[in-house]
Order: sequence, then C-alpha cells, then structure tokens
Amino acid sequence: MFSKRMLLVAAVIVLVAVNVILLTITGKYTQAPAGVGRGVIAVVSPFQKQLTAFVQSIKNIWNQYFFLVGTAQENERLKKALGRSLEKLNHCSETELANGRLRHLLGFEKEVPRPMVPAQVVGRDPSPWSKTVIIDKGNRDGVLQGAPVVVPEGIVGIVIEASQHYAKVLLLIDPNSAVDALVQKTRARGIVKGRGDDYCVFDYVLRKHSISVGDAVVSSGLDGVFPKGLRVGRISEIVRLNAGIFQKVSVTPYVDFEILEEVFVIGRRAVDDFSGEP
Amino acid sequence: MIHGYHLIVCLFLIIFQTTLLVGSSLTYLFDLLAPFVVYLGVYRLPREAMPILLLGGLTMDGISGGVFGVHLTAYLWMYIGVRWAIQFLHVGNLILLPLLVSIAVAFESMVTAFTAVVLASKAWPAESMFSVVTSQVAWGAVTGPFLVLLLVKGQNVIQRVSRSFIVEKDSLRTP
Repeated sequence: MFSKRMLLVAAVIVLVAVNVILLTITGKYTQAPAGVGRGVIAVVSPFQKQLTAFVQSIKNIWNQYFFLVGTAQENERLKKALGRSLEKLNHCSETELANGRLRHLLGFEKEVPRPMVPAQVVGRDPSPWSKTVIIDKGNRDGVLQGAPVVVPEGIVGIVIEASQHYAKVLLLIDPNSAVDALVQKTRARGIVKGRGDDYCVFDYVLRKHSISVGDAVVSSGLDGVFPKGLRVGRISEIVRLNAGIFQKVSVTPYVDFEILEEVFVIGRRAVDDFSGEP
Repeated sequence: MIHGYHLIVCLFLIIFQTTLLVGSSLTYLFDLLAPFVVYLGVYRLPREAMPILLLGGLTMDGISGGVFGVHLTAYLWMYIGVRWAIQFLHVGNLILLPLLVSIAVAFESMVTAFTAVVLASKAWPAESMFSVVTSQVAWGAVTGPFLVLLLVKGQNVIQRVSRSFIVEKDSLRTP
C-alpha cells in the first residue's frame, strides 16, 4: 500500500516531531534531567581546571616578567586612587557606625553576615546562546543550587547546578537571569534581566520615577536570592515612550564577564544557633 | 585503538572550546564538534560513530546552559544527514568537503539558535539569530574543512600504528 520511500519520510517526520516535543519539555528547565549535568561537570571540569591553571600560569609569567612597560605610571595612578579610596573608606566607616547606632535605637534586627566561598572560573559555555560558566567549588565546599555569585564589582549570577566539587553558574547577562533591583539614588524599583549580549534591560520601572543615565542600580533583596545593596550596573539608556506606564531602560553591568576569573559564592545565612551562647 | 582516538579527540575538542576558545563577543566561533561529526559521518561506520556521538552530545549538553538535548539532537541528525549525503556526493573532493562542513555548521548553528529563540523558557530576541548564524557559517566554511583534514590525518596515523603493532605481535608469535 505504502512505498518504502513514503514510510521512510513518515518515520523521519515522526522522529523530528518527537525530537521537537522532547526539546520543548527540557527547554522549560534550566537543569539537565536525572543528574546528567552534574555527572558531566564532575568528569569534564577537572580537565578544564588543569588547562585553565596551565594557561593562567603562562599568563602570569608574561604579565609578571615581560609585560612590565608602564608599570611605574600605573603604580603612581593606583597610589592616587588608593588615597582617594582611603578617604572614602574613612567616611564610610563613620557612616556605618552612625547607621549601626541608629538601627539599634530603632530596634532593627542585626544583619547577619553570610559566608563567602571564593571560587575560580574553570570553564565557559562555548555557545553564544547561553551564558554560563563552571567554577571549581561545589556542594562539598558549601556551594548550593540557587546561591548568588558575586565579585567586588557587582553581581555575576546564580548557581544553577552543583556537583560535589564543581558548579555551573548562570550569568546575569543570560536571558534566563533576573534580579529584583532598584536605582540607588531615587529608589525606583524594577527587574534587571539579561539580554544575551553584554547589556541588561531594567523592566517595570514606572514612568513617574525620574532616573538618569549613569545612575547606579543595586539589588533590592526582595527576590530572596541576592542580598540587598549589591551593585548590578549603571543605567546606559532610557527611552520614555509616549504610551505605557513603564520606561524602557538599559543597564550596563559593572562586571566585565569577558575577563571573569575569580568569583565569590554567597552561602546561606547560618541558622540562629543558641546552643553556643553562654 | 581508533575508539581511543575518537574519545581523546572528542574530549579534547570539548575542553579546548570550553576553556580557551570562549568569550561573549566571539559569537562567530562555531561548535568544533560539528566538523568532527562530519568526519565520523564520512569516514567511520555507524557502530564506531554512535557511542562517541552520544557521549559528545551528552557532555556538551551537560556543560552548556542551553536547552538540554540540543547538542545530542544536532549531532545525531547531522550524522544521519552526512551518511545520506555521501550516497550521492564524492566528499573527498576539495569543493564538496568544505560545502558539507559548512552545511553541518549551519545546521547546528540553526538548531541551537532555534531552541534558544523559540523553545527556551526565556527566549532570546529573534533579531540576534541571523548575525550569529551567518558569522558562524562563514567562519566554519573557512576553518572547518582544515579540522576535518587534520582528523583524517590523525586517523591514518593511528591506523598505521595499530597495523604495525599487529604485524609485530604476529611476527613474535610465529616460531
């Protein structure tokens, strides 16, 4: 009834359809099914770590012994910057003490610092369609799924998968990333989302809020993932449309994701332990 | 011995492209496993190629943050396509091999782009698809065939070594 060729074509169509359905299902999750991702990371990442360490050592030799042109000028510039930073630090220390006293007077709960786990970036996603990196710390080191990842410049991303010794981090610039944030100066709130390139969009900022290019955007702490006050980026473009209640805002992250080498994973806040108290 | 060669090449390509050949602005860099799959399709039998395709696909899916299964899908369909194409094409030809590699890179680039733009939980803007795919195909057409030729050279060396090893072993057995 059916020719062999027709059956073959039908079989290929069915296979393609099944394939697309399976990809649609897995596309709804950021994690690989049945721990495949964790297993692969555990096997491949040690090799990535060794290769990264080798490349890093060569880079260090180059930077420390051969590429010293302009170091004197840089030293002078850094000394001046250090002076300015020390002055600012002194001012911040005074403000922090005053803030502590006022919080105490108002009866605010004392902020418990969260542990920070330093980690090294050992691998990156080769595809331009997903922005993830692999770090050399995992469950054994206290790095858990959902933990925020930062550097001194600002927010890097969030841990989406963790094996025993390695973890996969979804970067802030990936379209799957979102951070509840606010403009530091005016406290205008919105959601910073990755755009896929080196920029982010700042959604749901009401038109009534006055914000300007160059304003700093920090995390609000309301998403329950990132602690309050972490630097996200600065506003690089604002488009106020004639219609609509929101403005269209672009944010340039403070973190340079191209040269990311070391990061800090913020651990969970220690559960209040009363047993140790006298 | 040839399985060991395939395994080492596959892992080397994965580790190389996830450690050294990366950067968010280098969107033109295509998946180096695409020329490897073309090599497997043209020069190796399915029973030799399938295990390495499954391993490579699952490894890439495990490392990547994209939709799980997209690399495995791309490699398997690419392999099937290459096997089908070599029934009609003489791919040893200097023009047809680059053409096959370019088509393979384009296919993989489009499959991953399609899953990112259409199937992912938070889709990418569709306008970014065209520039990424075209730059990857152009770069793949230029560099991909050289990688395939390099893989073929490596395969010939491995086969020569394993043949001489067998001959040596046989000569030791004969009194």
